[in-house]
Parts: sequence; structure tokens; C-alpha cells
Amino acid sequence: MKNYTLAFALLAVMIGCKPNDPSDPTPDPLESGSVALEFQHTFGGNPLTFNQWHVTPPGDSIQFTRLDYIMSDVFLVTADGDTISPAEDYEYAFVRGADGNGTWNLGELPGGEYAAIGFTVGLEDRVNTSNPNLWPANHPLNPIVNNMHWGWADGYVFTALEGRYINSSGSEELLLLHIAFQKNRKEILINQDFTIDGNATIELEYEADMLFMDPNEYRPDRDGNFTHSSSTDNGLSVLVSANIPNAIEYKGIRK
Amino acid sequence: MMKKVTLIAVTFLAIWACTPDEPDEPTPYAPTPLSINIPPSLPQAQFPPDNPLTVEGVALGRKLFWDPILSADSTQSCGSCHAPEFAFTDHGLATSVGIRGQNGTRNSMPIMNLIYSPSFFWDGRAATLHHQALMPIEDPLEMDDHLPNVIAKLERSSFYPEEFRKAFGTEGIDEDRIGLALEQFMLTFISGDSKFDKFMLGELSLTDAEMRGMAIFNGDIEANQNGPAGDCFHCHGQSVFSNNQFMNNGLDSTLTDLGLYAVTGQESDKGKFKTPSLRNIELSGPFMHDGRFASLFEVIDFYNSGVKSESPNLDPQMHGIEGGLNLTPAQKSDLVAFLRTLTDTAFVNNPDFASPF
Repeated sequence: MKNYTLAFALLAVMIGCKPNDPSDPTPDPLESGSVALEFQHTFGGNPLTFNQWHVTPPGDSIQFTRLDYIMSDVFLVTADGDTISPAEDYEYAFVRGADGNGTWNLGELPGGEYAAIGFTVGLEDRVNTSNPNLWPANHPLNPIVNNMHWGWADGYVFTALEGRYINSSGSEELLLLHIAFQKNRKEILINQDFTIDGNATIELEYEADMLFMDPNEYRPDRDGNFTHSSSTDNGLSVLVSANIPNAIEYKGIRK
Repeated sequence: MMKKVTLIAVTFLAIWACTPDEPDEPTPYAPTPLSINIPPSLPQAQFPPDNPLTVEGVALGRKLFWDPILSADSTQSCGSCHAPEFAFTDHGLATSVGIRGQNGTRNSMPIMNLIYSPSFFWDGRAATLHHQALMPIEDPLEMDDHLPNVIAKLERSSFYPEEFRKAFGTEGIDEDRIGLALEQFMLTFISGDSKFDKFMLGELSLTDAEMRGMAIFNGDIEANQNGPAGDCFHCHGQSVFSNNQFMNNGLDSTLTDLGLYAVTGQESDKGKFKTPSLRNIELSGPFMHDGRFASLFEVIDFYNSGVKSESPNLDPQMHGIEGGLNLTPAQKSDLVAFLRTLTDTAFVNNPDFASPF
């Protein structure tokens, strides 16, 4: 038995002492890791504050009391063009803007070079109209977690923007935009090269001021200050939801 | 070599197997886990991991809930102001009266489906249910006792020391355990078996008036610009019939009770109160945080034409409603008919919630 032990120890020492081969051209493989998207809310380049006045790009004074949103269908595109989706447990996310940065954990993803990130603000119809009471207690789509479900038939609000603005007469008015239904489901694709090598947080900036600007100028006095995304809102929800994709941009990646 | 190893192992096993048993260690007492079934009409919920429900814990909580020993003069229990037949509110009183006749300032809140609530009281001043449960005991307007005194009374009791041991596995009574036991009992108050729930499960039909009322309840004030719309569902939606948020619904132009502001100190929270669930609303009047409205019709009249749009921090969800709902008397009656379908008689008559004394 002693002989076996000695032989094993010698083998281990030999392996451990073997010098690296300087001519080996193979780089260390990029490591897989736990990956998350982090949504950082800003307004005019500064952190978005709630219950405080901001001026929109078109010039309206506005105060946010709520900016919440639901997302789904996230995927990463590798430099080779392959699409990688996270495991089912990480399929959906809910962000409550007033809580600060929102995090969407994507679980363990392979290391490598990537070229794009995609996801959807909103839910496909099958999920949107499914029974909300079946989601587990802490799931992003549990209606107690997100407080975005609209009752028994209409599904979820995809983006809830609430607050106040100053109208043309100088008076404070309520502002309520509940962006919902399939017409307002927005697929987002951010083309950006980045590398995953171990655990990584991909920082995305949610520029709330762009909701009032890009590509559609939105002025509450002119376009309306209230929508539940019904067909009678004179197109307000569609006008605003079109601005959502351009409001979310890649900012960086950190270990 | 291998034979020697085998021989040693066999010898060791033989010795170990022949060793006489040690005298039995006393088995630590473990309470019996209790599982609560969430009805299909309600969302999934996670019970607090730091206070797992047990048969013994709930039984202790039930005794504490109904025992006036928790008040300074042993005249009031939790159940004195939270009666099951009134959906665990205070017998139709606008505000409750303390042990010495002190007038409270807030309406007694119903106790049900608290598993879904992220904070407690009209102003959210308790972050957990076990902390909430202790506050009325020491509130000078309510039971007006001191927890050290309550603990001393419980320790002198002929049965509580043993009940606490059964509930928590070891001897000892302290305020944490009192709160935890009360929390366990109150978390069993699940209401999800009303006529409305049965209708949603396809087990029965609603009357025409109830159906019309449901349409008004779920009517979107934007989409139904020419029809009756209560727009109730925005704040009292989902199957718990509350968004569990703190909101100013425009009761007053000038605020007297500042609500959530007293807890957060934030200007933007002045006048905000917790949105109550509408389940069992037929039984839990009078209504609002101060019990100012005696009937559901008075509540609907308020939303129909009485919302104060100038109220500070009026919630954006009140947009459209502050201008009035324009419901006719018949439509108001339909809406009340629907609200009455939320009464869960099996819940309020559940013998497991009644006084054990």
C-alpha cells in the first residue's frame, strides 16, 4: 500500500512541477459565470429620482411616482451568431423603478465573445392571459410581486408610468400611462460586443427622458396625460411605447 | 493486504454492533408542521420562513388572540375589536374604543389574507405581522398594557407556559414568541371561497345585477367613456381585491390625518393610506381609515361625485375618477350587488377562528 501511495505522490509532484509550454498557442478558455442584466434608471444623464420635478426633452415639467415594467424572452447572441437563452427559471423579470436599479438574473451562461442582447418589454399573449394565480410566490409574474396584473381578462400592464406634470396653464395635473396589450409589446435588440469571462453584470441604462422624445415627441398637454392602452386613447399608448426601445442602452459590463 | 483490511473492518463492526445502547437521550420536542392550502382563486404565497406555521403555534396564537389577558385590565382581547362576523373588524364601529373608553383614531382593519400584505396598519407602521400583533397591546388607546407585564401574567398562568413550550419546543415566554404565535394564527385567515370565487371557478352563476355590477367594477373609465365604469379594479383589482399600496384617494382637501407620512416623513406620503381589500366588504363597514362612510352606497357616492381633486398627493390612479363616475342609482345598486358576492360566509363562520374559551 505504501508503494502505491508513494507512486501517486511522485506523479502528483511531477504534474505539478511541469513547466508551461511557452509554445502552446491555446489561450485560456473564457469561463462561464452567473450573468445578470442591471437596469439603471436615469433622466437627462442623472439618476432618476421619484417625487421630484424633471424637465422632459420637449420642455414639460414632470414628476415620476412610478416607473415599473415587466420583461420576458431574454437572449444573448454570440459573436458566431448563435442565440443563447437562459434557463426557464430566469425567463421573466419585473423592475420597480422606485426601488433603484433593477436586476434580471440570467443564471449561469457560457463564457465567450458576444455581439448582442435581446429581450422584450411585455409578455406574449399566451403568457399575458394565463392564470396569474399559478405563478410561484416569488416569481416576477406573481401579481402580488409585481402589482401589474389587471384582473381576470386583460393580463398585465407591461409598463406603468405614473406621476404629475405642469400643464400649459401652470397647474399640476395627474399623469398615468399604463402601457399594455400586444400592440405595445416591444422587442428590444441591443447590438453590442462584450465578453463574458466568469460572473458578469451587464449594465443597461434606462433613459426615462427618452420616453418623451425618441422617436416620438410626447407632450402630455397635447397628446394626452392618461391611458389604459384602450382603443379610445387616441393612440397615446402606442406613441409612448414606441419610445421604449430607444430608451434602453448598453452602458458597460462589470465582473 | 486486502484480507487484513477486511478482517479489521469486520471486527470493528462486530464490536460496534455489540456495544450496549446508550441510555436514550431525551428527544427534542418538535412542533407539528401545519400546511395552509391556498384556494385556486388566490395567488401563490410564501409563508414567513422565520416563523413556520405549526399546529401548536397556531393553537397558542388562537388562545392569545382571544384572551383578554393581553390588555392592562384583562377586559379586551384582540378579538374584541376584530370580530369574525364583521370580517374581523370592530362590530360596525367607525373607530374602536380602548379599555378605559379611550377613543381610537382609525377604523379597525379586517384580518384576512394577510400573507399577501407587505406591511400592516392603515399607515404601514408595522413591517411584519408579528410586530404588528404586539402594537395594540401597548397602544394607550387600545389595550394599554406593557409587554413585560403581559409576559409576567402569562408566566403565572396555569397553561400558557406549557402552550409556549409546545409551540416553540423550549421553555420560555417572551414578546417575540407572543408576536410569532399571533402571526401564525392570523396567517391562517385565508378568505377565497366567496360566491365570486365560485363563479370564477365555474361552479355557479351570478345574477344579472351582479354581472352588471362586475362590469362596472372592471369598467375602464377610459375605454367606457360612454358607459358605466367604476374603474374600481385599478386599486382593488387582482384576486386579493387590493393592490396593497398606500394611496391618497382624495377624501379631503385639507389633510388632518397624514397617514403614511407619519411613518416615512416624506412629503409625498402625506394623506396616503393602505388600500384595503374588498373581500367581505359587506361585513366590514363603516369604511375608510376613519370609518367616515357608513354604507357601501356612501362609499360609491364619494367616488361618484365627492373626490377632492385638489387633495395633496392625490394618486394618479384617481385620474378620471376625480371628475366623477356619473353612475346612476341603478348602477350603484348593481355595483353593491357585485361587491356582496365577495362575502365569504365559510370564512367568517370558520370554527377554527372562533374563541377557544
